[in-house]
Order: sequence, then C-alpha cells, then structure tokens
Amino acid sequence: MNTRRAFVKNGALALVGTSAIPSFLVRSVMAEQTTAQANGKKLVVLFQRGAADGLNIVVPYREKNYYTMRPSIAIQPNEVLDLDGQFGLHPAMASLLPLYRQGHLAVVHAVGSPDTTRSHFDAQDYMESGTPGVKSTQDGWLNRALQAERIDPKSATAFRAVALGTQVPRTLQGRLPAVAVSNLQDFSVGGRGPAASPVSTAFQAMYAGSNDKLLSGEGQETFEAVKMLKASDPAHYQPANGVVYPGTPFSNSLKQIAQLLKAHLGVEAAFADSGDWDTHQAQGSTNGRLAGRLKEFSEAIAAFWQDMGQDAEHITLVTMSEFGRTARQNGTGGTDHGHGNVMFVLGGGIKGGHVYGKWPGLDDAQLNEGRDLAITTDFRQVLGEAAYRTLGTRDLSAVFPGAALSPAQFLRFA
Amino acid sequence: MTRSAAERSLRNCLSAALSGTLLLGSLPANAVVKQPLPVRLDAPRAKATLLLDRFTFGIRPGDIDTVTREGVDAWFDNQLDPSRVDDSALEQRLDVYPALRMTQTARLARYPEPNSIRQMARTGALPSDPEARAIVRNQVEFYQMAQQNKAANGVAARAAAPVVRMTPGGMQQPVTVAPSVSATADAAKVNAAAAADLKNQNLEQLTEAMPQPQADAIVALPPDERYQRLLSMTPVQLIALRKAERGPNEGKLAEGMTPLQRETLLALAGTNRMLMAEVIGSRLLRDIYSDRQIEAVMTDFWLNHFNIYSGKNGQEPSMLPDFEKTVRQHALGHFEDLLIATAMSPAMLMYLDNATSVGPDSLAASRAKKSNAKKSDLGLNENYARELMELHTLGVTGGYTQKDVTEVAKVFTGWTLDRPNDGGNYNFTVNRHQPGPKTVLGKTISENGEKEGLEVLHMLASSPATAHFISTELAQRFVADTPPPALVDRMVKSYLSSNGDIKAVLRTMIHSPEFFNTATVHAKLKTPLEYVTSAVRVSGADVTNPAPLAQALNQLGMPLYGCQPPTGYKWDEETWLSSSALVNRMNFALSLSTNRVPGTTIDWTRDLQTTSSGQLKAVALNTSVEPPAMAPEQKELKLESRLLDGPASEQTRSAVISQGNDNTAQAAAQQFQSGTARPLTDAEKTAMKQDQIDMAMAGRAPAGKGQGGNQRALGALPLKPAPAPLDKQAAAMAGLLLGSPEFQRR
Repeated sequence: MNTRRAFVKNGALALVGTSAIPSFLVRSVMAEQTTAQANGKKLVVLFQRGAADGLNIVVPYREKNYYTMRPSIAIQPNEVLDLDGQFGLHPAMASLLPLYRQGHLAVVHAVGSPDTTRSHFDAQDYMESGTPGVKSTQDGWLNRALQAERIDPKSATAFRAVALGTQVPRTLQGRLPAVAVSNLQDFSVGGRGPAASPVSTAFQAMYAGSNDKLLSGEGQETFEAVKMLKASDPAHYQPANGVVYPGTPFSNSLKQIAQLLKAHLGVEAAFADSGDWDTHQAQGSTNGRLAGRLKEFSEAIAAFWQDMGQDAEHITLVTMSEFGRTARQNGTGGTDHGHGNVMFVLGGGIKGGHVYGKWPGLDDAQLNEGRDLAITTDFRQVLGEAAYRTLGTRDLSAVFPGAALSPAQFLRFA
Repeated sequence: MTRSAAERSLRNCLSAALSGTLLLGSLPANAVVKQPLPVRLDAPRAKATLLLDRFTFGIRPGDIDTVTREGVDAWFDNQLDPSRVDDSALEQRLDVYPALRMTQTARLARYPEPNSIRQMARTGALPSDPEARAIVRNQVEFYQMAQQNKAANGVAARAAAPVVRMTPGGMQQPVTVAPSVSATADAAKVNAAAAADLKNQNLEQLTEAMPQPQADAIVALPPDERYQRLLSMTPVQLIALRKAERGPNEGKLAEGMTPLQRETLLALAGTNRMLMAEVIGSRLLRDIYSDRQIEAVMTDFWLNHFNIYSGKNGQEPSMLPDFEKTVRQHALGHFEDLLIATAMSPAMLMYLDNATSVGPDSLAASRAKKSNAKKSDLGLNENYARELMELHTLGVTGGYTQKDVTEVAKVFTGWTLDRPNDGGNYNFTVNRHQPGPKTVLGKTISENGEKEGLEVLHMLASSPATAHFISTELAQRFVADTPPPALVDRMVKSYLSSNGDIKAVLRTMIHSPEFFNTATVHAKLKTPLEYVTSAVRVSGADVTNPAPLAQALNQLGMPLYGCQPPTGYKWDEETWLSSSALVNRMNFALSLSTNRVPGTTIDWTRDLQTTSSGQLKAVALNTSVEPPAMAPEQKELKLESRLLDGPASEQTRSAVISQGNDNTAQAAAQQFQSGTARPLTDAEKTAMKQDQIDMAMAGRAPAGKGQGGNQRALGALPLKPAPAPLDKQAAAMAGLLLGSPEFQRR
C-alpha cells in the first residue's frame, strides 16, 4: 500500500525505466506517430466489480454440461442471442448484438488471471496492478501503459488519464497524474462560472505552496483540471443522435466520458466502474438480478458507442472483471467465486464479430479445480494488445512485467 | 506556460534530479526526503492532541485542555469503559429516532419491510393496529399504482378514470377520523397518463395542489388531530396538500408532533427510507456528539470490518439498528464475542447469504429433492465462509484453501433466521445443517450441530493470523497506512496473550514508543467520514438534521452502510486522495463554514469574541449584530488555533489572511453565502430535497419497487436553512482553513 506516497518520496526509482531517456531522444522517436496522442486514439477501460458470471453473459450453449450444472439459471439455446453457432449473448444484452454483427465488438472467452485467488479484493488488485500474484507492485497497469507511451511530456494534459468517480482506481494509480471526476458540472471550487472564484484562487495558492508534497501535488493537478474544464465546459455536449443513456451511475460515467472526449481535453485513457456483479444468490436466468445488471451494462455501452458517432472509430473499449463464477450453480440459485471469465473489446479498429480465445470445454474433467471455467487466455494478453494498438505502448514488459508478452502472441483482435 | 504547469514541470524536474541522486549516491530514501528524525512526544499537550486526533471524530473546542488536565492515560482508560462516561446529551438528541429504540420484532410489526408490504398488497391482510395499518395502506397504494402502471405500460390513452383506487375492500375505510376532506378532495386528479409516468416519478408534477383554504385548514388543526387527518389521506392527497403548502409553511404540517408521530408520517412514503434515514442520521449524530468517542470510533472501525450494505435485500434497514447496537456492545470487548455476535446477527446472515445456505445432505435438502426432483435450489452458499476467513479473521494470506471455504460453509449450514423471508431473528435450524464431520484448517470438527460453528469461530478468533490481521488493521486505522512492524508485533503479542481483548490491544498500541512519536504525526489522510465529522466538531456546529451531512458523505464517495462489496472501505490515502475528493472537500468546507449546509449551524462570532480564558470581551457585549472589528491577522490566528491541530503553514496563513483582506474576495464570499452569485450546484439542490436524500440513503431496494419514491417526505426533521453567518469574513476564512491541506490530515 501507501503507493502514491511512495511515489512522491521515491518517485526516483519509478522514473528510471522511462524518463531517464533524454527528452531530445523522445522527441525524435515521436516521428513514428504510433502514440495515442498522435493518432487521437483513446482507451476506455470498464471494470465489473464483484466477479461477473461470464458463463451466463456469453453462454456456451452447445455444452451439455452447462445445462446439467445450472439446472435453474441456465440460458436455453433458444433464448440466447447467437453469436457464432457455439456461443450466444444473454438475451438482456440485445443492445450489444448489432455492434457484434457490425464487426465492432469482439468477445474473448475463458480469459482471466493465472493467479488462483478467489478473493474479490486480491483478484481485483492483481488485475489492476497487472501483476498477478505480486502484491508489492505500486502502480496500475494503465498508468504504466501511458508512461511507456513515447510522447512529449509537455503536451500531456491534466485529463490524459481520467477516472469517473470519487477515487482514482488502482488501475490508474502511479507516477503519471490521473484525475478523478465524479460530476463534470460540479467540478469547480466555490461556484461555477467561467472564471475561478476568489476562494478557488486562495485554495490554489495554499495547496501550491504546501510542504505536504502529496496534497500539494494533488492540489496542483486538481486546479489545472478545474481550469481546463472551465475553459471547455464539456458538460454542454449533450448526447448525440437522440441517444438515451440509462439513468444509472455507470451509465452516467460513460456519458461523461463521452463529454470529455468530445471536448478534446486530451483524454487518452478513461476508466469507469460498474458494481453489483457478485451474484451469490437468486441471480435468475433470462430475467432476474443478473439480467437487470446486464441490460443496464449493455445499454450504457451501446449508448456510449452511438453517442460517439464518427469519433467511435478512434476508441477502444475493454471490459474486465476479477474472476468468473462457479460453473455449477450453488445451493441458493446463484454462483460462487470461480475462475475463467469473459472480456469484451469494442472499437473502431477492432476486428469484432468473433469470439476469441481457445475454448477449454465444460466437461467435469475440463473444469478448473473441478468447479470453474478454465483459463486459456491471460487477461494481460488482451490488455496488452489493446494498449499496444491504441496507446502505442511498445514496451509491454514495463506494463506487464513478468508476463513475457509479445505481439506475436496477440489474439489479433485489433 | 501557466504558473501551475510551471510548478508541475518543476516538480517533475525535481523528481528526475532525485532519481539521479539515488542512482549515483545510493543514499537511503530517508536521506533524500528531508525529514526530521523521529522523536518521542512527551509534552502533555502534544500527547493529548495526538490521542484526540486518532481516537475521536475530531477535536472539539476545549477538548485538548480537558485531556491535558485529566492526563492522557486517565482519559484513555475512562474512554475504554464507556459506562463511566455520561452520554445523556447524545441520547437526548437521539430521541428524534423512536424506531431505533424498538425491538426488531416491534419495529417490523409497525414498519414492515417491502416484501411483507407486497404480500399484504396481494392478500389484503393489513395490520390491525391503526397506525401500522395507515403506514402499510399508503405503501400498498403506491405498490398498486405501480402495478397498474406496469399493466398500462405503453397504452397511452387509457380511460381517464383516476388511477388512485384502493382495491382490497378493507383499505377504503378511514383509519380513525372520518376524512371529511378526502371525501371531496378531488385535488388528486391524476389520469392514466400519470400512471404511465409513475415509473418516471412524475407523480409529484402531475398532481394538482389542493385548494389553499382546504390545505390551510389542515395545517391549522391541533397536532394530534392533524396527525390523524394526515394518516387518513391517500398518497396523492398528501402530495396535493404538500404542494399547496410548499414553501415556508411546509414544515408546519408536522409541527408540534411527537417524534413517533413524525417518523410515522415519514414511513408513509416508505418504511425502509425512513429507517435508513434514522440509522444513518443517528450514526452521524453519535459520531459527532457522543462523549464516548473511543467507543464511537471503534464501533465505526468494526462496522467497516464487518461491513453490511444497506441495499442488498430490502431487509437490512430493519436489521441494521440491532446490528449496530451489537457491534457497539462488543466494540471494546473480546474479539471472539464480537465475531460470534456478528455471525449470529440477522444483518450478516442476510448480507453474506448464510441464512439461505443449506447442507446438501441435510434433512431439508433431501426433502426438497423428493418433492421437486428437478430443482436443486437448496444447497451450500460459500459467501459467508469465505469472507469470514478472508475479511473477518485470518486475512487473505491466513493460510486457508478453497477446501476450507467449502468445509466452513458446511459448518455454518443451519445458522439462519427463524423467518428468513420476514426479517426474523437468529435461529439454528438443525434440519438444514450438513451432517457428518468437517475438516477445517487441518482440524477435524466432529458433528455437533450449532457448536461446530462456535468451535470454528473460536479457532479463527484465537489464530495468530487473526491476531496479526486485526492488529495491522487497527494500526493502519490509528497510526499510519504502513504502520511500523514493531508496533504491530507488540499488538499481536498483546492480542494473543489476552485472548483477543480489544482493550488490551489498544492499550499496548498507545503505550508503544511508535505511538506518541513525531514519525507518524499527521501520517493519516482523513477519510470522508473523518473529514466531515471533524469539520463539524471543530466548528462547534449545532446539527439539528444530519441528512445533508449524510448526503455530503455520499458525494465524497463514502456513504454510510453504502459499501457494496464485503471488503468495507479502505482507510489509506491512496483511496481517498483524488482531484474529485479535493474539489468536493473544499466545497463542503465552504458550504459548512458559511451555514449553507442545511440543518447545521455554526456561530463563528461566539468564538471570536471570547478571550482565551473564556470571558466575553466587553466589546462583544455592547454589539448586537455587528461583530467587533478585528484585524484579519488576528482573526486568522484565532480560527487557526481553533480549527487546526497544529500551526498552519505560511502559505495557508497568507492565503486565508489575503482572503480576509481582499474586498472583492470577501464580497464574492458573501454572495456565495447568500446564494446569489451562482446557481446552486446539483449536489446542493439534492441536499435540499429530503426525499431524495432518504432515497439515496435507503439504497436501491425500496425506491424502485413502487413504494412511492416520488412522494416528498412528510414528517422529516425540519431542514430550514441556517441563518447567514454574522461574521462573513470569519466564515469565509474558516472555510479556507477547513479546506486547507493541513485539515485533510490527522
């Protein structure tokens, strides 16, 4: 723990890897034009907290054992939204089906973390740090991915990395400043309006001069972000094309990400959370609790996609969740903590309309520890490819140390 | 380049320079960051300040003097035995929440939870007690309107018949007093369109106001009579009435009523909303006003350790009052007792699903299989078993396996409620219990019914892994995010030698050399709860309605009983420091200090006119409204010593003083206070709408289920805005101090 503090104190150590490169070299490398900044690309990462039940999200409806193991919660073959003759979307996700058919949405199945933990906390921590099994990692993978992007640091804006919500998630923590915004309209000190209020200026001076390095740094980043927002007022960008976002917090996050992107604030990576996926009890099948979560989740993403219109071309959106759930339903009409899961990748440059990954099967003998979907794709491969293609992150070993990723192993969805 | 950008790149340069130093000189990290060597704090006043900073929800004016006089050890010992500390002033404040003092059974009988209400709506079987009947009737009507809405969904042109009908015969009868008004009150002209819009919560807009004379006549009734009249009205009539009395009169509708009458009216719009408003409100009032501060702080610690989310099943709101009471009772006792109490608490049994877990080979499961061979919905749920070990006792590295989780789940089968669907009490139901021996952490647990669970809880509570996990968590909460290992080790020893006596562990902590030590002074960033409560406490504020403070916590990302995952909130600065947090904290500070948080009032002049010896200055006596002239520098010093637990930095001081000197700034601050300088933020608008606060606080369960989420809360505690501060300059300066970097730490 104590990450950011450690950065302020020992930031030196973290710097060695990338910024030790003299800036004139960095600038010459810029000629490659592979960066997100250069290409105007953006990476949006969505985290489904609580371990979403991948087997009922992208249903392996040809698997006989799936129906044996889930007598009352399975989605029947005639109920799924067929994707490829083997897998089908949960019927509550109808809003995403067109994106799959149009070739924008890709599915990666039987994906997850090689670490075996079934602790929400640990599994999320490992996924967000990008280092399964290593607790001492101080920063998040997406922060490192941005660090590894070769850009002129002077051109980076306060909004280069942004999280919707009251906190900066582990994924975005690290040396590179990341801004957290819960509500664009209220992101102002001492009143709205185009100019900074006098109290805001007083606070700014107070934080800028503080000896408390941590608060001082955060304060400066904050006021810079506030100033940028005042200048561009992203909240006035209203959803396009009659797009209607569901009125939920997650959906509101996506709507605000769209506003930030439309305002051209220099966002390269954006992050939002979706909660309540921990369906231990009475999760339902085509209807019910999980169906409700999926409907909201899919409709929000579909609205975001539609809202971005032409700009969607430059966006890559990735979804993740800490682990899957047991292949068998439990004794209370739900599922317990499992292993393998499903991820979605959506974007203009994505080769969608395909379910990626090697399917391990669901026979009893094929299950992980006899109870969960096995993992055939490391989640870092998916995130690595997304970062490589979208952010232009070339040094994957810095982003996912120990994963030995190379473009040769990519699933080639991008 | 802008100033801040320049400073930022300067910062980056500095880091780079430091990196060079590190690489070349390989100096220890401590040498790079200029920090004075840790020193033990010995001065009584410094010790008192540190202790209060860590073991209270904020230092009130005078607290440091008191503890210095009493001595830190005496104060601590006294606090560890809460029965020795008189808390009657707080109890008096809590008189406004009668439901919290009822037994769970009585509470549920009077304020049924949503499932029971839906059931009553279907069967028409209403309670016989007239008040309980009125509460239910009101919600049943909302439920039925919602059902009708479902039926009418998509059909635009339905018959223009009023939607508000009370179908089951019994409900049409007036409850006590013949409702002469309601018989003729067609103020409630809601048509089918309204029904179709119910989902959008537009009932409020679609309902026409009641004719003014009629409404005023109700307001003019004596309280008891008015109460009976209100109880007899339909939901739509109540909205019509409130619409007619909107504005200054609105509060008069419940004026003069007893707390029980008030909360009953509040319950008309949703029992769970009322209950959660009380649960959260009382928790805030307790944190702010209890003189048993260590008990309050430790209760908060354990409530987070044994996290419960209020919106999971719709039953939590009626279970949380007892859960909180139980936790408080054991907060300073032995950990094992606390663990057992939480394991048996209805709230935990529901939240982590153990109430529904059934042994696969139990009598109950085999019966179910016989009667319905196809369905296998009766069996194990391992949610509680896993979190019990991971979060409540051993910690995730505590050495248990998936096999242990399954076995522990079997051990706890049968630990359920006597009426699981109706918010009952703890009950061990033997026919749900998995027969046979179990093996937990390598130890065989012989078949022994309920005692198996107690054996496992004992094993877990006395494990060194648990001792370490709990001690670390305590040290993280009270000392530093990364506490000194030597401190934790001492606490672990104390835990193990005292059989998990929480008092003993706390005593060991404060008597360790690492505790009263400059190395960890201000090491902690305040959590939102600590920030809000400490701002209120240092200001000596009077809180008459804590709902807006609860709303502030929602905005700051830390709603009470609102953490959905079982992990509870983290207490580290990584989590709570963000741009969003800073913006929200600064705005909260300004709103609070300028009396713009409704329900909370601060009088800055009182303090500024008082000399250090507590005597009123002569100048204050002969002025009525105008505060005595005092130089901003002088004012700043006074405020600083009152609000901060140490000297402010030069930057903070000069920013505050220049704000005081700057006429434009001051003018702006004044406008800010009067609300004319800018439109209200969404957050502030929300803060003024009691019903929305209640809804947010009640979680998602009640609102979306036809419980009348659009009815504004009648009977809520008054929420009149506090008067504008007398000394606007002082208020603005205080806001800056409360939003300063210094005030973010403890």
